[in-house]
Amino acid sequence: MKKILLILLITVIGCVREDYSDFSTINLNPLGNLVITDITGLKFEGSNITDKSKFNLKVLEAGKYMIEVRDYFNNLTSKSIIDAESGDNVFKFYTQALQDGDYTIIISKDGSELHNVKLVIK
Amino acid sequence: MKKLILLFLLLPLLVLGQLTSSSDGIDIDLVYAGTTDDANKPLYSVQVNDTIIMELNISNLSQNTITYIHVDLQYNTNAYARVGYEFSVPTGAQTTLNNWSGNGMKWSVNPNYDANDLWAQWSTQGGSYQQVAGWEVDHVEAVSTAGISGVYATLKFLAKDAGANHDYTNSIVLTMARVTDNTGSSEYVFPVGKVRGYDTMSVSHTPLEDLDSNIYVKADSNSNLDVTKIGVVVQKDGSPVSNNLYFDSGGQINITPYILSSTANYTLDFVTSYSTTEWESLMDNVITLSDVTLTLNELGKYSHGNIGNAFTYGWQYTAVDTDQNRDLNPQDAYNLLGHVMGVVDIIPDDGTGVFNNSFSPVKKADYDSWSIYKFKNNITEPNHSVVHPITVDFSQSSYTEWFKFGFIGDANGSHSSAVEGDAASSQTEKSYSYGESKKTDGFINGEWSTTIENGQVVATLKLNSTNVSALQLKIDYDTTVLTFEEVVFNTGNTVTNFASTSNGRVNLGSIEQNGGDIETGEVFKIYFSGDVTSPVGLVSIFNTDAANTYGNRLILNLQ
Repeated sequence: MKKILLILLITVIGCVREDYSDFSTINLNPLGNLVITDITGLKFEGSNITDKSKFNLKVLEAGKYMIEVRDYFNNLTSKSIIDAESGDNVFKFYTQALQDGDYTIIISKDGSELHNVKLVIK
Repeated sequence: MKKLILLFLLLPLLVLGQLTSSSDGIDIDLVYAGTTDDANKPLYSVQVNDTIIMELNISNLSQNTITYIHVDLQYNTNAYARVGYEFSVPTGAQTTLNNWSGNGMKWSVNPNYDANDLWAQWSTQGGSYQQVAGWEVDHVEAVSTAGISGVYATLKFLAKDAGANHDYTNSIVLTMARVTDNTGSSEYVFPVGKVRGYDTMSVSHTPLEDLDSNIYVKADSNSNLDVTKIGVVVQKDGSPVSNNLYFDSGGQINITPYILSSTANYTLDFVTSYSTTEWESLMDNVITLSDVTLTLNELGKYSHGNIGNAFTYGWQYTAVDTDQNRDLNPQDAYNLLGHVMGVVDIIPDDGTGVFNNSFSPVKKADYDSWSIYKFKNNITEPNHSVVHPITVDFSQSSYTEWFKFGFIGDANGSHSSAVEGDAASSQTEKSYSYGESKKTDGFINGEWSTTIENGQVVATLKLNSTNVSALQLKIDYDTTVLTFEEVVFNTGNTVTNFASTSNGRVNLGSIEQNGGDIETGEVFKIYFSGDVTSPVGLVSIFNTDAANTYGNRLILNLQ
């Protein structure tokens, strides 16, 4: 019986018109260029941060993480608290409320600095 | 129709200049090459007693060689005196500069040919030298077996004052020239039409007054003001004679090229390269809550046991005399508070813009001597408008108009120039350094964060320091995704709180006038709604301000 069902299944599949159009809407890699191969890391979409561009914060431990944005003179311009899960965490970065310029992005957890990068916000 | 077509055909000539090149002959250019003191001085700036340098520059556009040239150069002796000359010709060349003008000589132009057709002018009938007093002609001649080209002669002329009614048109002008090539078996004379004055053959400049002063505008400014964005326009008798001239990073502008008369009336009109929006943002930093507390303290209305004497200089009074009635009273302080709270605008609106009505340039000597005593005794205030007449002392080789800058509402001098000396500080008990932007009574600490709580974006300021009696915060938010909802204050029962929003900026603060402090802890919570899953970058800090119980400024150190 199983063999008959298997033959029928193969026959049905073989007769179906080859339409792969739906495949194009399936994103096999939802992280795009934000993939981080290391077990932890921080990756931005581009070399500059633009409005609503995304970044990936990959962490081992779930919890609250602090994202500080400091200007050229190290003044605190913005500080956000995000809830991150273990693994990849993709967030949008909004820039409309920030002046264009050079900034330092600092990510920390419980007072410990994890990442410190200098980027241009546009 | 023919006339119209002719007009169109002639238009390029009319627009581009009247002289035409020889095309394939000899062009003789009368080139102005600066003065003996300044090679880069433009002709239009040449003054009486300057010695100008004029070059005879030959362009040989032909296949022939120039072995002989003479050019007649005519000049008006009332306007310019020829004081020197030199030749630049090949080695072994013979040169002469003759002048046989006698009692005066002037070329009567041959009307049958172009005035710049220099060989035609001489060789054909119709032109001649006439005896005319006040004119001379130099005959500038060179002979060389090697080719002559480029600048073959340089003449120097002293610019003279020929009187107010003198016409300087064509004061120096080429009249005729002869050029030959003797390298062949017979002399080749460059023909009619092929020796032309081009592209300049005359000088018509009226020398300016002999003024030798270098004239500068200087500014002593606060480091919180970008002085390179402040400038002046020089006006002569009410009309601008310069573009916007901005201070360099050292606070200086050279206006010498624009001050050309000892009798005209000159003014400096202050301008800025800040846009209106940028200037308004600057003013948001200039007028803050600590200006209010200091003013309240000066008036004895800041109930922390203070009895006034918080101000030191007259400019502090002038800055916060918001109704400009020369009487500083509590209403002025509350107007200032209203301005900070966003419910009153103390910057007048006379239609000339926010810069003109909030920026106060003052001549340095006036600025440093304007005292509270003078303010209170109705002594006329020094000019602190954006238009300043200047009177240059031309007897000085270097003259400087020196300015300092104040701002409306800047009681604590956070952006105003420092006052020097003690001429303006005769009535004070407390030493206070107006205009020294780093002068504060200390630092306080706070914590800032933005997060998403129950679907709302919430920005929180936690105050960690005590003895704070005024606190202000301006924050910008992304209006494309957020809507401001409210501010929740937790500052204490007797504290006056305020919050307003405009153009994506929330202005909030608290002031304790009853002798107590603002409570510590999460004093401000600002709520926004919006469909977002990330709070990153949505809210940013524009500025902060704080004051202690003395009304003096504190720096809020946010972490």
